[in-house]
Amino acid sequence: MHTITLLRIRLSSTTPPRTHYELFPKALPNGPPPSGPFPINLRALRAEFLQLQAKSHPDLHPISLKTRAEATSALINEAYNTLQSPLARAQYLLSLKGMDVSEDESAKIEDPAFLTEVMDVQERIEEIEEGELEEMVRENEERISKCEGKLERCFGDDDLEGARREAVRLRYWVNVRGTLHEW
Amino acid sequence: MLRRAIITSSRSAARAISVSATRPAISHISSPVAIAGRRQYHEKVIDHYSKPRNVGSMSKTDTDVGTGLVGAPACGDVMKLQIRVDPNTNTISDVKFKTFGCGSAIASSSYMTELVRGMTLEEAGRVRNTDIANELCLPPVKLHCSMLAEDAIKSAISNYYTKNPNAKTTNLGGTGASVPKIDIGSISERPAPTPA
Repeated sequence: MHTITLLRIRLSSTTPPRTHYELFPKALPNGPPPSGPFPINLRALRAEFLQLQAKSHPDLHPISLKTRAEATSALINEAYNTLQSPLARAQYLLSLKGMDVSEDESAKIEDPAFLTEVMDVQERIEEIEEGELEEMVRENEERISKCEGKLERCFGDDDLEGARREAVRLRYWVNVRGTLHEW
Repeated sequence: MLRRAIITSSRSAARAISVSATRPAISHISSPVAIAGRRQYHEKVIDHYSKPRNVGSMSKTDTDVGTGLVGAPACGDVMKLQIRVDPNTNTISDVKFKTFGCGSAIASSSYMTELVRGMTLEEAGRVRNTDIANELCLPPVKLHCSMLAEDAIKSAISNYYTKNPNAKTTNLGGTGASVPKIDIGSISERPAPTPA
C-alpha cells in the first residue's frame, strides 16, 4: 500500500528523472559514472525493475492516471533494457555527454588494425569446424570482458574519448557474439 | 566456396536483422522506422543479399591487388573490397568482397563489385554512393551503406596505388589510351530515383 502511494507521488510529479539511474535508487545508489561505477549488479537491478514494474502496472491506477502509468511503465522498461546491457549502457552514458555513437551511421572508423582483426575473426568463424565453436565463443567473451573492463576505467576517469573508442569496439564484438550464437 | 560464401552472407544478413531488432534502448524511438525500412527493402536489395555477387577474397600480398577495408562503427559493420588490376590497361580485371553487416551493406558492396569490374581505376574512383543507392532504391536510413561501399572502392584503389606508385604515371604516359571502351549503358540505365 505504501509503495503504491509513493508511486502515485512520483507519477504526479512533473519533473522527469534526469537519468535512467535515478529510477533505480536501491540498485544504483551512486548514480552514473564517474560518481558510481560502470559495472552494475544485474541481479539487484532486475529485482528493483520487477518491483517498479509491479507498482506501475496501469491496472493498479485510477482511470485518470492510467495514461501516465503507462508512460512510466514504458520509461522503466526502456531504462532497464538500456542499463542491463553494457553496450547500451555505454552508448547511453556517452549520449548523456552529447557523444552519439549508436545513431550517427555516417561515422567512420579510423582504426585499420582493429578492422583487420574483426575481419579476420569473422572469416575464421566462416571456416569454423564442429568442435571449434566453444573456443571461439570463449575467445570472444574474453574480448568483450576486456572491453567492459576498459569502459569501467575510462568512465571512472571521465575519459570520454577512450570510452567512445571502447564502445565502438564492444559494438563489433557483440555482433561477433551474435554470429557465433547462430551456429 | 561460392556456396559457402552465399550461406555466410545470408547468415550475416539474418544476424544483422536479429541484432538490430534487439538493439535496445537508445535507438528505441527510431526502431519502428527501421523496421518499416526493412519491410520496404527493394527487391534489388533482396536479390543482391540473397545471391551476392563476387563474394570472396584475394591475396592481400599480391602486388596487383588493392584492398579496401572499411567499417561503420554505429552498426558494427565491416566491409572488405578487393580489386585485381591489369597493369597494362589499368583496368579492374577481377573484384571480390566480403561484408559482415546488414542486408543493405551486403547488397551495396555486391552491386559495387558488378559495377566496377572492367572499369579503369579512374572510372571506378568516380563511382558515387548515389549510383549505388539509386540502383538499389535504398531508403534514406540506409544511405550510409552505399557510402560505405564508395569508401571501400576508394580505399581499395588507394591501396593499389600505394603498392604500385608508378601505376598512375604509366597510365598518364599514354598506355591508358588503349583502354577498351566499356559498355556501362545497361548499368547506368536505371529507373528514375524514387523520392525519399
